[in-house]
Amino acid sequence: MAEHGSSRKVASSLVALSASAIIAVYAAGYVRTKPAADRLDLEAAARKRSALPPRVAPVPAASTSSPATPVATLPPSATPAAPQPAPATPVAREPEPTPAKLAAPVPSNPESKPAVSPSPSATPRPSPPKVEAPSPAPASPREAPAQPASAEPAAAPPTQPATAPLEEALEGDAVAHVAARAPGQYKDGTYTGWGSCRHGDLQVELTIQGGRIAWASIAKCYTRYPCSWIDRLVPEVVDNQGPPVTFISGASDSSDALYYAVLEALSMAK
Amino acid sequence: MSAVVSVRAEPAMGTVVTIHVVRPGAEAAIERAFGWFHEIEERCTRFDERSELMQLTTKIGVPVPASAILFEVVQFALRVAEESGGAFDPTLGGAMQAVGFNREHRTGRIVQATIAPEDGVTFRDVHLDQGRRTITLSRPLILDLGALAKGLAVDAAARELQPFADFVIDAGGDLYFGGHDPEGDTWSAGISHPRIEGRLIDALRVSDQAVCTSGDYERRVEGGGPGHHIRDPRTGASPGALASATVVAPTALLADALATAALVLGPVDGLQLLDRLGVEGLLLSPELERYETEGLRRG
Repeated sequence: MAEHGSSRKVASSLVALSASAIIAVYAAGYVRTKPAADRLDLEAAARKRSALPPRVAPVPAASTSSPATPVATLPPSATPAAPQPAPATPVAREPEPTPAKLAAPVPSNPESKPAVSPSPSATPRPSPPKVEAPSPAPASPREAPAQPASAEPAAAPPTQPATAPLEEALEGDAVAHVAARAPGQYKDGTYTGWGSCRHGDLQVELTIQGGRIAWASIAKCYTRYPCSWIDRLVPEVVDNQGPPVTFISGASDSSDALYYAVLEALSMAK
Repeated sequence: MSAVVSVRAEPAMGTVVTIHVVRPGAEAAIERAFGWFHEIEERCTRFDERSELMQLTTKIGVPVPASAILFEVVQFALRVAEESGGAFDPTLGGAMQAVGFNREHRTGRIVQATIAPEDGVTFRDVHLDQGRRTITLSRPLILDLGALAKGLAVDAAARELQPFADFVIDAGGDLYFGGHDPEGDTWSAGISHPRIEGRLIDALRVSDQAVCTSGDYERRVEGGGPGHHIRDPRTGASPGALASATVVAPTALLADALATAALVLGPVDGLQLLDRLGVEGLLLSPELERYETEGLRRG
C-alpha cells in the first residue's frame, strides 16, 4: 500500500480529528464532573481503609445482597492463572462442541426446580416463562439481586457522569460488579443464574468444587436461536473460572446472556 | 484472563458494556467510564424525544447551541461523510425510521419523531458554526449518531482508564484494547463469523487500538424482511457487496464510522478508503472472500 503514502496527510487529519473530538468532550465533561470524581476517589479510599478489619458478621453465602468486595485486594499477578484457552491464533474457531457435552449429569440444584432437559438444541420455546419480557436491564426471572436503578439504559438519571454514589454500583450486583476472584475462593455447591439478551433468556448452572468452577452448563434456554452456538463459550467458563471473556468484535449481544448468567451464579457462590 | 482484577458490565446504548481492568484500584475510574456511556447516550440517542439530539430536530433553519458532546460527534460525522463521498451519512435517521428502525431494541420502546423528515436530505443539510458551537439543520431531518456516539463513549471511557494502562472496553462488540492482557501479550480480538452466529472467523492482535465491526447480520428489519440496519445513503438500500467490515483504528469513533462506510462502499472502494485514511481493516464478502489492508497483521 505504499502507493497511498502520499495521501496519509488526510489520514492523520481524520485520526487527529477523532482524537481532538475525544479530548474536547472529555475536557468539557471532566470540568463538570471533577468534583464528583474527587468525591468518588475519597469514598473509595475511605471504604478500603474501613474494609481492612474483618467484618464481624459475614454475609451468608446465599445472600443476594452480595459483599460487593472492593476489587483492589487481589494483586493482578498473584492469581495463578487458570489454563487459558487463548483465542490468540489468527484462525477460525472450532465449530461448536456437541450438545451432548452439556447434557452430562450435574449435581442437583439446591433451588428446587429440577433443570429442564439441559439439551440446548431442543430448547427454544415459543413461550418461555419469563416475567419481564422486554426488560431493559438484564432481568432475572428469579428474585435475585436487586436491579440497581442506575443500570437501566433509558432511565439513567439526567446527571453528569460519575455522580452516582459508588456504593450503589458496588452493591447492586445483579448487573454484575464482580471482582475476578482467585481460583478457590468460591463456596462449594451448585448455583444457577439467569442471563438475558434481546434474543431471550438462559439459565446457567455452575458447580463449584474445591472452591473452583468445576462444571458449567446451560440448564435452560429460552432464546430465539438454538443455544447450541453458545456451547462453545461454556468451556471457557471453567477455563477462566468466570464468565467468558473472549473479546469479539461484531454483534456479540447474545453472549451477554451467558455472561450475566455466570455472574449471577457466581455472586451466589461468594 | 483469569488475572483481570475488575470486571463490570452494564446495559447502555442498546447493548451491554463490559469493562475489564487488569490492575487493582480502578473502581472509581470504571464508575466514571460508565458515566460517559450514560451521558453520551442521553444526549445523542434518537430513541428519546427529550434527548438533545431529538430536540435539535425540532428546530429547522436556526442555529442551535450544542453541548460539546453533540457538537463534536456531529462535526466528526460530517467530516467522515465528506471523506467517504457520502457512503457514511448521519442524516440517515429519517430513512431508518421509515423502514422500521424506530424501536429501542432492548426496551422495546418505539420512538417516532414528530417531524417528517424530507426525502433526499444529506449531510450537506447540516451546518456547523465552530466559533459559536451551533448546529443548523437547513431541512427537516433526523440525525442518526448511534454508532458514532457509542464509539465516542468507548473513547471517553478509555481516557478514564488510561492510568490503569491495561484494560478492555467492550460495548456490544465495539472494542477498545488498552495496553496488554494479564499475561503481558497484546490482546486478542476475535472477529465474528458473519454467517455462523457464535463462531469466530479470525482473531487479531491489538494494543491501544479500537476494533469495530459492521455486518449485514446485525439488527435486521423487524418481521424478517429484507435489509439490515446499515443503509447506503446514496441509494437507500442495504448494501450487499460485503458481509462484514472490521476496522482497527486508534479511536473507536473512527473505527466505528469507517466500518460502516466500508460496508457500504464494498471491497474495492472500502479497502481504498481505509488505506487512504491510514487505518487497518478486514473486509469479508458474503462468500467469505477476504480483503485486508497490508498492515492489519503487523500488530
